[in-house]
Amino acid sequence: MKKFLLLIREDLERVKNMTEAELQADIAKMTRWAEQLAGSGNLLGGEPLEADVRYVKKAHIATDGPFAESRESVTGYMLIQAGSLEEAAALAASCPSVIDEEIAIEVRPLMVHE
Amino acid sequence: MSEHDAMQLTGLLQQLYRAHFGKMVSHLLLRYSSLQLSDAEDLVQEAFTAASAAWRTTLPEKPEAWLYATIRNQASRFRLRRQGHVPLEHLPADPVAAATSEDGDLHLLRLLFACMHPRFTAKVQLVTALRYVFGLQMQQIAELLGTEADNISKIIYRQRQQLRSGDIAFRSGFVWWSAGKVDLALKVLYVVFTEGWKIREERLCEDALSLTREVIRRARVSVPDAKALYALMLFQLSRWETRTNEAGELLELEKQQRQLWNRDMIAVATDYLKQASTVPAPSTYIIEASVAYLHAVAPGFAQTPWQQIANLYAQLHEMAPSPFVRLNQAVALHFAGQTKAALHMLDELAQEPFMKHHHLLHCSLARIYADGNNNHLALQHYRKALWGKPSPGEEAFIRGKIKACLQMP
Repeated sequence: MKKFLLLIREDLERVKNMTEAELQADIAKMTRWAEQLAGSGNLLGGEPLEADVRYVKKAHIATDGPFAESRESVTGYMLIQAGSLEEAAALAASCPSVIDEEIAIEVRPLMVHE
Repeated sequence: MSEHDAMQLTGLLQQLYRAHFGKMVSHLLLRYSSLQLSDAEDLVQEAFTAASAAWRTTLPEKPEAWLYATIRNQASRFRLRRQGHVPLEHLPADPVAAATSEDGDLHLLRLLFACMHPRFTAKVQLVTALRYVFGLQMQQIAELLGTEADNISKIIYRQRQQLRSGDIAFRSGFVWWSAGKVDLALKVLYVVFTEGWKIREERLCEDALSLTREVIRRARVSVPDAKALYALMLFQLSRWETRTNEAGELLELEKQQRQLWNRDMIAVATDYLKQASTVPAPSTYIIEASVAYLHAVAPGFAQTPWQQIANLYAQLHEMAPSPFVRLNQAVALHFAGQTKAALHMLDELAQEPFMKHHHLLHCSLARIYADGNNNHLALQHYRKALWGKPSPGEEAFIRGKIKACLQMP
């Protein structure tokens, strides 16, 4: 089994403007999927991320990202295990929030030297 | 080692077992992802066995830390060898500090959430939680739930193979988003608290209370029910000291010394209930906490808003029908001056096979008749109540009432 980092990306503007009910529905959807991954033994860990952010460069700490035109950012991560990059990608594609076009997931294999 | 010392050691071990069993199991599952629940449980048991032998000669300075270090040691070795049994050879000399109690509650909450699987029945969830989260022995659980220890061990045995460290509760912070697990956990915490209250086991009540607080702190979904349950528990606990007299006998609400109720607890509980009540439709937890609130802030027994309480019970019964809710409703109606309606309701309850011989039904009837100066019927019902299944405390209470009835002219 190989390890993969799933970076959950979504439009921060959309997240900020969600009503409490929409937010709870979103959370429920994502949780069900995470529980599925845990149940199938794929989930190794992961946390949702707070919205507060600082972008840091030398002599520069800002709340705006380097790509001001892009409002998309990472809102959570998961560490999973899967047989291959393809399999990991297929798991990510099964996320209901991906299917509903609310988030995108970046799947990155870990460089593991064992 | 003298006999006295040996007894002290046994006492210490029992106390540590009760307080730390669940925390230690959870600690292992969090730390060592390949462990099964059954392995973790065995490692913790072994550590206690080892302690009871090793501590006879020297008691470690920090017994808790010793235990945690021992299980971690054994778990690493267990993982390396991957064999069924690892002989205990390397006992720690100077262990590092154990987890703080705050970590402990968090570990317990993760373990509780892992026990809360929708595919387990409510009873299985409760039994598992009592065993692992609250650290009760099989025999104690059996007594608490009024069943055979054999049944309990069967349930536990099956569960041991189903719960695993792969559960999201141990793997990821996404578990705090799970409204489903929160709901199930609250149900179990409610039952544990109620049982603890019944058998007057303060420890069980306090554990349930601190885990409910932990749910409120950790959950990322909105948790009005957890807040209402927390309020309910605090309202109850505020009068823990006044439930019994100096002889340890149960006291009726009207005989309790209200000035001794813990006002600070009541204030905190009220605040939580307010926070919980912002939802559009009240849940059963909110209604129950509201009843407890009305009792807690009433200046006296007679000034209690009984009609309002009866109405709340009526509302509760519509949402979650239960003969005990009906019973409480009837009693509240009686104190609100509607004795006829109360008796009618109790007569209906007496038709139900389950309630027919219940001691609480007969105690309520007896009380109403006694209030109406019908000593004869009161006596009759207190006697019937003894045929039900009162707890030892309740039985002593009923016998006291019978004695009082017999002394009446």
